[in-house]
Amino acid sequence: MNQFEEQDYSNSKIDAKIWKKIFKLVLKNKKHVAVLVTAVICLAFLDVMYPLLNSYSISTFFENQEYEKIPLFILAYSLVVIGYGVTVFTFIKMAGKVEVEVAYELRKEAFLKLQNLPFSYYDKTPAGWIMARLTSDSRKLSNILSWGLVDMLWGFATMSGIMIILILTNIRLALINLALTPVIFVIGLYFRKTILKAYRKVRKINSKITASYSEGISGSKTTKTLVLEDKTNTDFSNLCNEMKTNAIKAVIRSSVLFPILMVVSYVGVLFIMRLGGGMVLNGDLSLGVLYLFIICTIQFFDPVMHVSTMIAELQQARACWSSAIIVETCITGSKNWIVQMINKYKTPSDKSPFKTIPPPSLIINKTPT
Amino acid sequence: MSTFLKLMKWVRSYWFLVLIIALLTIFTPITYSYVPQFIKYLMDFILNSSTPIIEGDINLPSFLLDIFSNFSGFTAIWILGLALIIYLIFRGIIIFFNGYFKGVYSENIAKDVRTSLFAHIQDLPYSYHNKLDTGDLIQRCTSDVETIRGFLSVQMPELLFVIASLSAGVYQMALIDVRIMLVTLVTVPINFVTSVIYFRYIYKEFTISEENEAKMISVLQENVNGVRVVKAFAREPYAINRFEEESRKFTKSSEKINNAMATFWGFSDFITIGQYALTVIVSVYFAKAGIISIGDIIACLMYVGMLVYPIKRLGRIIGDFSKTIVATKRVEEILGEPTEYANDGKLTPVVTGNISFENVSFKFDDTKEHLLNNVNFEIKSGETIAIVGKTGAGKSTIVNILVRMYDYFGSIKLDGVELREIKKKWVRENVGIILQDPFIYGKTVMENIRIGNPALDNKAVFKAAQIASLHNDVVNFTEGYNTLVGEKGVTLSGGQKQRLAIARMLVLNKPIMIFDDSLSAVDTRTDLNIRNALKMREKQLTSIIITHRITTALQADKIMVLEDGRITNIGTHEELVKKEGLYKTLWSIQGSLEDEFKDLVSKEVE
Repeated sequence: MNQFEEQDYSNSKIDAKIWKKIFKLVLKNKKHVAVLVTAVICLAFLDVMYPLLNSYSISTFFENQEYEKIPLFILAYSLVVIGYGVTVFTFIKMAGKVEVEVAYELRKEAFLKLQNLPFSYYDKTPAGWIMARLTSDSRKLSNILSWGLVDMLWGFATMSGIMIILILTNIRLALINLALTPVIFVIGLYFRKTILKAYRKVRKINSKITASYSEGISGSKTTKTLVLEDKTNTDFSNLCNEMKTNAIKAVIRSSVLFPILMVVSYVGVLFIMRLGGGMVLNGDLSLGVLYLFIICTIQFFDPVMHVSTMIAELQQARACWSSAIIVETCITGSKNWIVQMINKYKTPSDKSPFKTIPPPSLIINKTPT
Repeated sequence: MSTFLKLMKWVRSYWFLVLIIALLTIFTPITYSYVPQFIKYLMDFILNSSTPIIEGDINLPSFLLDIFSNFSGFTAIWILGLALIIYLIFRGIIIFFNGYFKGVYSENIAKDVRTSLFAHIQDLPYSYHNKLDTGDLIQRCTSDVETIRGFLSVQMPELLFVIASLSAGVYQMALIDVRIMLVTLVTVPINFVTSVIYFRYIYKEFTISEENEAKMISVLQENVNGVRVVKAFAREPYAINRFEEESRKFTKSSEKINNAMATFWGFSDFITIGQYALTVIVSVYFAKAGIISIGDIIACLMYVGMLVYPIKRLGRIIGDFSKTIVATKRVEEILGEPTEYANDGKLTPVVTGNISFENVSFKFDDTKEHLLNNVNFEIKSGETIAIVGKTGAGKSTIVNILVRMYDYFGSIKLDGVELREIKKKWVRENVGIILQDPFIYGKTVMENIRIGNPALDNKAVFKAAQIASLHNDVVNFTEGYNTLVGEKGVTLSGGQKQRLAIARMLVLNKPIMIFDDSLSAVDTRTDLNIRNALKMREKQLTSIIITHRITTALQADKIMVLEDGRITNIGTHEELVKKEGLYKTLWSIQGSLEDEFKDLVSKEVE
């Protein structure tokens, strides 16, 4: 099996230059980004609107039995329905457009840079690694920059929208949601970080698996002539087992997250039920509003989770930046490689294998291989 | 259907795990279906706190209703809320185990597909490897496997979830009001029909997109692997254009899929929210007629999600199914290729090194012309045979046949036993071949040499390296024998790679060794040193040397001249230089140059 160890970028800082480079790529699609952001904000608005309409219908039609506003209600709901269709279509179309265009630009830039890199870079970097940067990493990065950031924006907008509506409706009950937000956020962030950390290990092994495929295919004739099939199969199987063990560890962490968040959210519902129920019994609150609070509390952890997930992903997915910072890493890498080579081939008679050759001279290599 | 059955074969070994997952997946929405009943209880309790809620009013177990009825006022709400939390903890445990078992199942499936593919690729015939597109094959082994894994472990259970969610939602809503339940189901056929249309369209588009991605990866791989050639011929602009073209094609096909997704999801959300609106509006009229209560409508609104969203998920499952069918076909294409051992010999005779070729011919299945025509020769144990000839004469074909990389017509005998009757692996264990461009594994020098026999001691490794004239180079590396040679041995020179390959083969002590132009990248002196050291080995060795260098060939016991797949001359150097023909011509050119070079080198050394 290939012994190349993938460099871990997760703890390295992404400097402003790289951020600038990345956003420059995103902003090449300014128009699409602008439409996308508008669609996301509209979607967040609509996400708040329909529980609000349901709450209104409960209070007006069921509780107070005032039916004269039914046509207006139908009109408002119809607009929300049409709005949803149009907004979701626009949102997916634009996010997809930005995603594929950013991935295209990333691949293009990285490929251009690859053409200008010295041979030394290719000497020390496995082909599989380079390919992974230009394919899966560029896809992941473009995914984060389109769907990911949009998800985060949607999360913020929906969270804010829900909070504003709840505060305006009933400040006392809204305090329960306000208190719940940081709890859900911290739990979400903690678990997402540990999950992503676990998956980072999985990802490393996955790179080794890809490299093994590459080695297995390119070296198939040699493997056959040396009758190494059984050995390579065993090595590969061990690698897959390692992957399986680590992936299951990551799965355990991610499986525990949703149940915890669900219970925490319903603890919030418990307080809303108690406090809101009391208010309804005392005549201080309508059932429609109580419904609104219960529904919003249950649904609240969704946008909070989206935001915490994205923050964790942005922190942890730095390995994907390597496709964007391939130039920087290559240059640093090449410099290090040259130093390594000088040390490696250092002999008493010849301190350096790199000799300066004056331009018009003819060099005959008489050294043995 | 057959592709689907092929997909299902991966599931068979885990039927028990699948059963547990199925049960847990079904339980997940069923347990959710009781949550709105708690909320309904709360609403009914608030509205009629003086009237006890009895079985039949609400679909909760009677023991719970009995407990709740023992309390009144705010305490009753607390007890109700706590019961809900305890119930959700129970539900959470089900969800956790569902996720955990799905993970275990998913990883096992992925491992099985990966290892099967890897082992199968290793066993595919050399002719398959000669023609394959590495980039495409790697994509099939990685992203296609991921697609299969994802579908079997996520989307398949999700299908059960959808069915269970729909059933539980329908049941609970029917208990409240059958008419509202029916209203909620109005959009199900619409969603189903759109999902089918989406499936048909997206299936085609996914196929195109996967093909485009594979093409792009192939171009990228060609470029990365052949970067030296690209640079040497200043072909960077051409490479850039070619990659951009393929990358753009892939982008366009991804965009097409995305547009289909946007249309489907936009329409699907329109229907989903429309369903909510319809349920609310119909409920309003029902309330006006005094048919349902507030508690009922709140529960109904919570149940609408159980009926409408799963149908929406169905679209995604269908979309993913189409992608999975494409991926399965691509993976099965590899697994369906017959391995080279499908037609293998059974014998494992003792091999001492006697080889005979009788009327041996060879041609590829897809060509008409024979690359070898009635080749006849004999090699006795311990002899050294050199094969010379122009490029394309069939030299490498002869040795590839001898190590059973290709099948042949005629008869080849190894110590009197027909070659095709001998097990292929046994042949290769006894006949070693060192290639002109050997593949070096991305390991240390030491690991590479002892790769065929990891139990080998250092002494044997050093000895082999000395015979191969590699030892002195290696000891000068900073890490010595522990130096990592990089992917495909990129940190080594061509000559070092060849000598490493020789050392790697020498330690295996095979009775027959083939040097397929494997000394081409070493200088004449090293070539001579290696051949002398080989002669001095204790073990009797039959060697076949393919070479373009006459000085390498001249010391052989027999020299075979090959032209257009036929042997035109066989004899010793002394015999062949006297005969008119290719060998004499080559000797007259190379021999004098070689002498000149030797003189030059000796003068320089002095």
